[in-house]
Amino acid sequence: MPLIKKIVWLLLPIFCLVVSLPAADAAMVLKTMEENTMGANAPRDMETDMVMTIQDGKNVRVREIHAWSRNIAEKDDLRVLKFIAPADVKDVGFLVLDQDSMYIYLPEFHRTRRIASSSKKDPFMGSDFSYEDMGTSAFSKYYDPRMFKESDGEWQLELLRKPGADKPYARIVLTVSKANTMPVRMELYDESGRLGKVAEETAQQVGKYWIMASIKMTHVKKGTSTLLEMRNIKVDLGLKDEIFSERFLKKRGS
Amino acid sequence: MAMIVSLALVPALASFIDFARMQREREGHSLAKVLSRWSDFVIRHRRLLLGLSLGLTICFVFALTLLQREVSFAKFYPLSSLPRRSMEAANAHFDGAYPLVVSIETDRVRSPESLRVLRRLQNYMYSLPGTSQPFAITDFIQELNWQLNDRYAVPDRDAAIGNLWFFIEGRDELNQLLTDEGREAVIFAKISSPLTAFNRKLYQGIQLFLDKELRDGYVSYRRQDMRPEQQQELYAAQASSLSQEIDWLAQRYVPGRASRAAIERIMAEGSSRELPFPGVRARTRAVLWEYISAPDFEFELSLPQKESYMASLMAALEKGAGAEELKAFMPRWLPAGVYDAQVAGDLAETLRYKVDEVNQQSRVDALWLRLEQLFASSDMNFEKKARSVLYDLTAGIVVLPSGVSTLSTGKKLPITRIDQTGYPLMLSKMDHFLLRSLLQSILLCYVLTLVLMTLMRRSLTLGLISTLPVIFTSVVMFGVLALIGVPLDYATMMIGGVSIGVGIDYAIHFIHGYIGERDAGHSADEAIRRAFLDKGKAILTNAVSVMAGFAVLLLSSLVPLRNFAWAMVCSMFLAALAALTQLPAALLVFNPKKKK
Repeated sequence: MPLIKKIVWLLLPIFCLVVSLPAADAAMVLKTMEENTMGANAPRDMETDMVMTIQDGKNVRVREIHAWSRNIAEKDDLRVLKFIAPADVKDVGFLVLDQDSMYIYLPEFHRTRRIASSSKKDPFMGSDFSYEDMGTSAFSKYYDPRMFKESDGEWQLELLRKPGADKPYARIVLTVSKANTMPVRMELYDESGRLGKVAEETAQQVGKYWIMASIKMTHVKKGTSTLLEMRNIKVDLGLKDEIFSERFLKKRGS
Repeated sequence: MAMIVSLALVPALASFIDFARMQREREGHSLAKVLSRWSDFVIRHRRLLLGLSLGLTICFVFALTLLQREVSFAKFYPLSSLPRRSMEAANAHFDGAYPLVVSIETDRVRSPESLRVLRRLQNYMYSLPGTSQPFAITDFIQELNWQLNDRYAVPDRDAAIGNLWFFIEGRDELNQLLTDEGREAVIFAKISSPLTAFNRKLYQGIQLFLDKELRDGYVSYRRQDMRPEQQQELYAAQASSLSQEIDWLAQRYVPGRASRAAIERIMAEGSSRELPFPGVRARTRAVLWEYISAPDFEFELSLPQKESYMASLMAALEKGAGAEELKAFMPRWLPAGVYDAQVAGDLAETLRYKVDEVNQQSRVDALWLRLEQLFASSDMNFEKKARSVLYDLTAGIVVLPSGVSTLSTGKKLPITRIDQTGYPLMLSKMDHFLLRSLLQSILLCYVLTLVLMTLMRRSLTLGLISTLPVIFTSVVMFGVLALIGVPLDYATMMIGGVSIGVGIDYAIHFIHGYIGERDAGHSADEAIRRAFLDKGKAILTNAVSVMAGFAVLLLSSLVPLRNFAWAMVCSMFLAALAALTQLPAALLVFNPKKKK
């Protein structure tokens, strides 16, 4: 075997190893982050008040929500949102069982309706969050991560949608804090590769957990933004199964 | 510039020409012979020619009433051109290519009252000829209500609209229908004809309607605040107002048989609460059982328990139980340990809501069964929209145009503006400005010409006579356009001013020659004869040259320019004709004297 061939064969595995190293790091960062947000290091359940502030030019609209969520290992979170204010949406309820099972309760019509798959990209309550954004799911299930940049305090990952994954964003640039391995910023790119939205997130320590205390979603094209702030966060309450049901969704004033 | 050339360059060049020799040659020229015979003819038949020309002018004045105006750019292009073909295709296959927008301003468009006004205006627009698919925020609301609650109607409570709004808030489409602060909304429709006359009539019709609606305003009533006899009166008034909306819709979808009076009669009968609604009990039972038997029913009960609960519920409802009574019965109907007062309260309200919903739906069904007999044909969209109107008879609020009801318990709606914009308005205004500009320019031309000629000749009679050819030319020209159906547009409207400008030249030349000959001591007949020979050739040569110049525009691909070209050719011909017949005849008949 000529010397050159020998060298090539020798270098090839080393090259593959080198190339695959950043991917392994990226996957590790993403996995750790998901452990913190929805995995073993996240609270088992949570009850919180939310204030949603929608800024559209000079117009500011404020929604008050009460939310319950439950963390289930290896699955999507369960989540219930109930609107408290303004008056015309009081008692409107939103239940997320998984990404394909979302329900909305309309108290004025005494009806519960399932959100059609085609509507998941629609704005949630006139905000810059879509119905899908309001649900939760693991990125690693639908996206392939790649280390994009690394600085002293942050990792920046590029998440590329897996073939066949039913997700609205083709590419996400995710910035993760090295201090607590929690997301701090997400750039969400659409099918055509254009930057559609930017989410800026702030984590807060509640007991032994790091919790996302605020998310500001900016719609780049429309120039609008929505700030979702969590208040009175309570964790590990042992919430009952009944809360995450259509029956509870109908219950007023809960 | 033309004047400077005429006064400086032309005389300088003329100094090189032997006019005496030319005069001798000219007298023997064939055109001179024609002009000589022409002048003799005019001298002999002066009164006949003047009478004929004035008679012709008067006749064509009547023809002017037939003159069409066309300001639509669509008609500028030939039928075979790409823009025209695209527009025709849009009109033929997509219900029109031209926008019509009606806008409304109020304190809050999203209120059930304002949305009812918006729906009324929208339904009115369905009745307009050549207008299709008026679209407004009401369509979103009603369609959502249809998808979520099987009811194509505007809800009668703010909170109910708020619940539906939940699904559309933040959507980009809303920005096209409603302002951010929610005070203004628009109804979009499309117009299928670009013709000015059609759009002018449409604009005037809409404006008349909108002016009346805004002037009268609207009043809203809350049914629950009224005594039974007031409610009956309100139903009658509502039947009158809503029948108008159904009539508008019928004109669009099922034109023909039904009269508004017949629609109103049925609606007035149907407004009565005593009208029988067949099958309402079975329907109520089915709806309630579907709810109670569902797995997410408020209380966890076995099937026999649910059946027993259902039987008790139906018995109570047949006795007319309201939400409070239903709640009161719950502890007796529910097994021990299951009852929860708050849940029972919610459930009682839900059940009562569902029963009311069935009743309302049944009333609308019963009314519709009677109404649909009136129409010669059926149409799914008509039924959907007509039902939306009928649901108002079951709603908790009533919105009526002022004056429809004499009840004083209503509240005036704060609607500050209703107006229209779009193609009909744009064309109507352009048409108005075109007509005004034309009349102003022609009138100003006549007046200035008259004043200048009077001052120059120091004779009002001469001033009046000199304007006769231009009046004849413009009246006959526009009369011809009217008779052959060529509309007045941006190009042809210029014919008036241009033909006056050119025509007056001929009159000035001829009168100048005539006065000169008269000053030289010739008789009127001889002065006319000499003026013919001296100025006639120049007038004819000028007319032919100008006609040839404008004829070049006949090759234009724009229709108005082609119309302008041939109209100008005719106009120059008429101006020369008038200057060499009507004008000398008038000079001979009136024999004006220039003041010394």
